[in-house]
Amino acid sequence: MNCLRSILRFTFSACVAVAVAASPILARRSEAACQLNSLGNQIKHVIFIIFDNVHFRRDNPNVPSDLEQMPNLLNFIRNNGTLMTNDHTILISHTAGGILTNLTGVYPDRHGQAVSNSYRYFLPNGSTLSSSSFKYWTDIVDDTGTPATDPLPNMVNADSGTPKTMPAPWVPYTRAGCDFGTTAANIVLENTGTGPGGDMTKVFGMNSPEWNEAVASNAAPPNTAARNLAQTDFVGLAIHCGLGGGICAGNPNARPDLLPDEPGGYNGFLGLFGAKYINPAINGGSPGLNNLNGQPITDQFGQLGFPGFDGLFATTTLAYIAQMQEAGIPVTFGYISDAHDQHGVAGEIHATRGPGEADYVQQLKDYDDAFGKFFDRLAASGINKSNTLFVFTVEEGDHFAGSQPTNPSCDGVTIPCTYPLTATGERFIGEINGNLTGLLATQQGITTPFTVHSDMAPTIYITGNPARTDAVTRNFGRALGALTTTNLYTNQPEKLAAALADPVGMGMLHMITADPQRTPTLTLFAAPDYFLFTGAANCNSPCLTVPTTPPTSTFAWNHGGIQPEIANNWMGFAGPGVRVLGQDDQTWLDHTDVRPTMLSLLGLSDTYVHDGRVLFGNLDENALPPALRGQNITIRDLADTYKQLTAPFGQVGQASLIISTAAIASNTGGDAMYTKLSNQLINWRTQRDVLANKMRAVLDAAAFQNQAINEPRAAQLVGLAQALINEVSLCAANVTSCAQ
Amino acid sequence: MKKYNVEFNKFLLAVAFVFIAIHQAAASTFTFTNPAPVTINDFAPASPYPATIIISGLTAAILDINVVLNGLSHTFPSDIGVLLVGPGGQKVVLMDGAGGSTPISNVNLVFDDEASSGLPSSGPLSSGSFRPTNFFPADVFDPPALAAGPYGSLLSVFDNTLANGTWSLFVRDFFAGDGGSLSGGFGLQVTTPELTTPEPSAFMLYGLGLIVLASLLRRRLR
Repeated sequence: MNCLRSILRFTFSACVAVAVAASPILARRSEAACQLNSLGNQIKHVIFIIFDNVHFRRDNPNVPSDLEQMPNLLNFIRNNGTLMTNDHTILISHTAGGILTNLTGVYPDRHGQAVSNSYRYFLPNGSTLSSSSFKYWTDIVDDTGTPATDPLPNMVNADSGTPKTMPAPWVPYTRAGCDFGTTAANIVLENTGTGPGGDMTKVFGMNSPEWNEAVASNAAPPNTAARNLAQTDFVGLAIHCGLGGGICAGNPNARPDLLPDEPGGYNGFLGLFGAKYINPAINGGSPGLNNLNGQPITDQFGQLGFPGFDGLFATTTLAYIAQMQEAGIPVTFGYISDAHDQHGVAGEIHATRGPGEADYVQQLKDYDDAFGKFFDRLAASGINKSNTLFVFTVEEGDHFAGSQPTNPSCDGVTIPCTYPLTATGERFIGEINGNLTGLLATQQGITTPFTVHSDMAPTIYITGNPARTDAVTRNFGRALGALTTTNLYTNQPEKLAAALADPVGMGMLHMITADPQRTPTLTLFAAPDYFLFTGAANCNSPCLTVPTTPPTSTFAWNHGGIQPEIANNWMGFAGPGVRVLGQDDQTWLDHTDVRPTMLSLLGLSDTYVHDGRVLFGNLDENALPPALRGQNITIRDLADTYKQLTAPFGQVGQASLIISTAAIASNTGGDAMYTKLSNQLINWRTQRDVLANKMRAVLDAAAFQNQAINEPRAAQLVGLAQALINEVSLCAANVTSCAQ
Repeated sequence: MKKYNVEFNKFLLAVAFVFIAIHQAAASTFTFTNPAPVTINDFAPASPYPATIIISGLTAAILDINVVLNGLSHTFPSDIGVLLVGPGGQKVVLMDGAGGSTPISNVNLVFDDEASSGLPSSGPLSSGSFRPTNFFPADVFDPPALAAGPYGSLLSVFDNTLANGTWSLFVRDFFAGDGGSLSGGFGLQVTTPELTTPEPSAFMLYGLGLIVLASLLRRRLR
């Protein structure tokens, strides 16, 4: 018996030793299978990092910005590539929508997440339910109901004419034989749901050992290690393996990577899901992985594995990226949580901080140190700007809602900023929470039942789902436009609504998805300090408050809305084919442009036409597809005009929002102003879509099919588009006259 | 004097009858149609490329020619270029870059040098007669060599040539992102001075003219 045990132990040890020893060989084999097709095949690695709320611009003029406090990253981008500071979000500006737009290169009307990080959807009886935006790629809206109250894909796309799941972002890479490792949104498991559409069911299958572990974990008492175990084991990390198997080949933990809606089919591919299976695969059989400071990555209970999304600090995500790259995963997409809030050990708390506060500054210092170690480690492994495409960006910016520092001359770095305290000793910073129901009832006499996706840009779902022209909807819209508040920080009166949109206006902003159940009745883009929710239909409890307790769940960084500090972001990239321009403040781009630019550099393509365009002005001439080389002013005009025509934050999008707001707030006889302006917007949307579809098709065909651009026709197209831009802008400049 | 005048007028009337009869018989218009649909592929030559009509049996040269496009649909009409090549190799671009961005459906276009205007560069295309219109003279149609430039801009290039032979219609979508069709194919309206089977009215005019002439001759003989 002892002998047998010894033999078994020896055999097991030998197997582990062989596996560990073989891992570099497997890594090389995995990398060799990856057939990226960049200029001269220079690009061997892809590293994409998306931050949550890291700012290029200063939130306090005296305090260096987030990026300024991260010189290792900022200098890496500027010295080796280009930092583009005129990047823009989509609407509404939230984490899920921002990340998914970067990942797909299309606007929310084509990927489904116009309202995020959760959204509501109408039921046939006119009531609504809520769904998280964060779900595994192939999940459906109602992942628990039988039958589902909304069976359409969460990532809904109707390019084919019927609603299907949006093509997955890893597919061009895996079809090229490249393993694709990630910690980013919706391309990993996002929950431990074991319902018919839950992530565990989708990926591992009902009654699988992993599914059974999740069932047990979900049944454990709250706030225990056992309750967290399934998330720690399976959520948040994935490797989608390339054609031929890559690192999944021979790994018993690999599972079929199923994409039933993928154009052209997607069969025979495998994936590894969760730290339980990924850590051993990339770390020589070890169940754990250290962060860049040499500490084990764990959840809040000390269990090895995924630390939670808020626990994806720079030192954690970058450790995973580096380890994956060194293990032969040549394409890695990572998410890094925000630096302005305190997240505890592994994201278990959420305590907000103001610009220049000591622990905010320290967290940025930690992030910067992590980037320093990251670049050094990669360089030691031969992964550098000569063979790697680096892309860094952010899903959105924020508006800081809070008091001014008590020491106004503070700069954060040498003199920490401090903030006024409330009577309970908490910082007087945080979003002004507004009870929309109470405000409407007390100020406008509106008691119409409705539900809301609580937000800075709350989407409103009037019970019964009345038409936009229904008197109920119109009265509600007018009331929203008339709401006023007294700002709790400035004590100044202000209008609550910065802008309003109904489905007509939302259509101009690419917010109408292929799932009609989730189209809101109205969207209110609020003044920058407010976070709005539904409560009692009175203000017996104050309708406006700044919650500062408990101190472990506070929020001061507001986003979702249209303010420049939220919408205007940055994107930096470096590597073969990227021009070393240092910083580009001029080129107008938005999140949709990142993916086509990356794929163009890599010689890969998607099965669909992007809403974004290749940022060819920032790429080396010889790295461009031949059809885009020697671009003259006509082709540059084509790309630039296209963005102003179609982007939510382009000229037409923003002008249309002014018109939409005036239309909804109007109260003229027979509702003539609303009718006239809405009809005008509907007509412009038709024209916009025809022109934008043409322009994007031309740009996409040049970038991905090497179709030469017919310059006279391009000039004609630019002329048509510019005429429409001028027409809409002119109307927005004088809406009253336009409505005559 | 008065009588002479009357008889002279009768003589002129008779000559006119004969002239009119001969003239009507000489200016015959023949219509030839290939109703097979043409698919306008996005950013590519159409299918078929070219569409053709073969004419035979005409013995006189062309006096005038018009071209008919039947059932033209497209989601971005200014993408379309249409080239007509005659049996003798003469080439005319019928339309290129016209109609802007407004989608059209089942529009019938007649190209006629004598039409009062060309196609519009923007705005919706609608059925009617138009002069050939080319907003993008630099566009080059794909091979075969028959489609190579230079290209004419008036259908009169075909005048005084024989219509017999193969007429080729090359349709090309010159810009990415849209497509369309020519659901009813195309047709040619060829006017020639052919002496073909006269119509009954022509016989009546011939006869009437001859009777009047004979009557006048008899009076003079007396």
